[in-house]
Amino acid sequence: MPIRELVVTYDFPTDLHLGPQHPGIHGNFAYILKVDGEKIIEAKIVPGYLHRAFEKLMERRTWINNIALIPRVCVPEPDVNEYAFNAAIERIAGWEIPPRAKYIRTVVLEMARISAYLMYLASMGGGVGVYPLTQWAFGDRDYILDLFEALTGARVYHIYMIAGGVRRDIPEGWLDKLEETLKYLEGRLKEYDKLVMNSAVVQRRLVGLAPITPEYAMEHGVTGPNLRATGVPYDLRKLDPYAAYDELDFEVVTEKDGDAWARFMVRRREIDQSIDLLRQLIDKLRKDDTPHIHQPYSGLAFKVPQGEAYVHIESTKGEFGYYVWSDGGFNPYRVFVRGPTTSHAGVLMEDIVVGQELADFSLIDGSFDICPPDLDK
Amino acid sequence: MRVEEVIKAIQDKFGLEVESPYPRRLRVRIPAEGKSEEERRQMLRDLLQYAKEIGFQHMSFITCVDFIKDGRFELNYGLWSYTIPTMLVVKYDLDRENPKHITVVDIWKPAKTWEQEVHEMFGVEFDGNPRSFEPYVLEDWDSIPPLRKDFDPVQYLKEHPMQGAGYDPLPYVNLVEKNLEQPTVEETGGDEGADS
Repeated sequence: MPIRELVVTYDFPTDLHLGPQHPGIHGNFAYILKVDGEKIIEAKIVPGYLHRAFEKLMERRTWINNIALIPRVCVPEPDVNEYAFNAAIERIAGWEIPPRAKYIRTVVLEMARISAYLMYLASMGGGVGVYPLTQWAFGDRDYILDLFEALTGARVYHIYMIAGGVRRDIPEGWLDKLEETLKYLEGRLKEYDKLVMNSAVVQRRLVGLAPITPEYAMEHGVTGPNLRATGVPYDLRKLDPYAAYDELDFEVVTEKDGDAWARFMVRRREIDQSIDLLRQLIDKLRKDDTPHIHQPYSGLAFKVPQGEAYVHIESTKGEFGYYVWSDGGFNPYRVFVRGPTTSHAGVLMEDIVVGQELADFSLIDGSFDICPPDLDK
Repeated sequence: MRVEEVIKAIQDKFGLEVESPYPRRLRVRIPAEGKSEEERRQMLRDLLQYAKEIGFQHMSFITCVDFIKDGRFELNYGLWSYTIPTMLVVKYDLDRENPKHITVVDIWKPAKTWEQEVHEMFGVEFDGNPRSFEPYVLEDWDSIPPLRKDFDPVQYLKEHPMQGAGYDPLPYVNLVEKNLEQPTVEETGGDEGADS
């Protein structure tokens, strides 16, 4: 057979189904792209590969049973779910939590931020082809997971915060271990910087890729580090302080260009910020001797008074929120999970990739930290 | 603009009561009585447009709650302002029997996916948003919208046996159902919760 007959020709523009099995797509997610040669002319999301019906399941479980369920909503950073759900319960019921519980929760949230950002660096390393970054970041993330295991008993889904505080106090010597790990991480991050800053590939592929302005970002529902990469200092930890953030001293990290490099650098610099915040928290925890929980209820099944509350917090992906309605019973009446990816993927990605090269698609997807589990829910 | 000014501006312009249940949270409800459906829709759109102009730049979410006993769906529009900074939740009641509504996608682009989600989970039709009629996370759904209170997932599973799972999930589901029953007073040790 002549080779000419084996060649398949396409009529452009053509539909290209990207994901969910594609290694360049992060998570179980797919896009249908209309491409003309290498150029993308239209994009559409195909969600649903990860739908687990959390909102329905939550209505059928008691308040405390739900705490074992909700971390699964966001895989890389499960603690934001635990915090937002419990804070919503406390807000409806009017329960105050002791200062120590606030500090411990903030420690957990900041550790989760570092661990999720290391995962982000790892995925970006894979996207640009700097594989040592991927392997180092995943390796170093394990030291954070070790700390989580010592504190909560679990590595990924911690099920640690409950209404009124946290399940148990910090073990003896754990704060010293945390300090050691932070020191180790600081040293490692310098090596990351050398690897990334000296790499012409990283700079060439990320600088100037898919830039956005603050107005465009807010129009498309962009939140979190992606918004801060456009130069506006909007951080919910500062604007709507929760946990112990109003007692901590920190500056909001921003970059001004709004491109993939700026988004990368905001996250890289926020790891430094988290390390600094954790050191402040260690000092506060050493001086504090309040209890780790104030439980104004007993038993495994309790009622929450009738009411509703929305709690949103700053996750590494953007604004993460829980809107909880209670009818005064043992179960929530309705729980709504607000994930940042619903806007980032469904509104932003469908618009921003138009006119981009197909080869850059995976990097753009990665640079916005698209995380499908909170969209599918 | 400060929070007090926002409350006053909405009261003066629309004659609506704005409540502030918690710090940095505002709630306003479009009244259900005394107005036609058309007027209420227009009021909602005017209010959302006005909120955007006075600094609520970010549409955080649109979601729905099924109050089956009252026969209504409650739509919630969550708007966040970075400059004030406050969240404004606009509430709008819909007839549960005839949940037809209009889109706000021309005011807020993120409404595109939120309305799609509400349509799939509650069956609310958003006139003017073509995306809202397309499937979202469910595939080949053939029952009532799943987040409505009268949808029973266990019954659905009995009617639609799982294909290709390699095991029969029903015995497990029945076991879980048994555990999901409301705890009795004896089981909770006489504790009726924080409100008792």
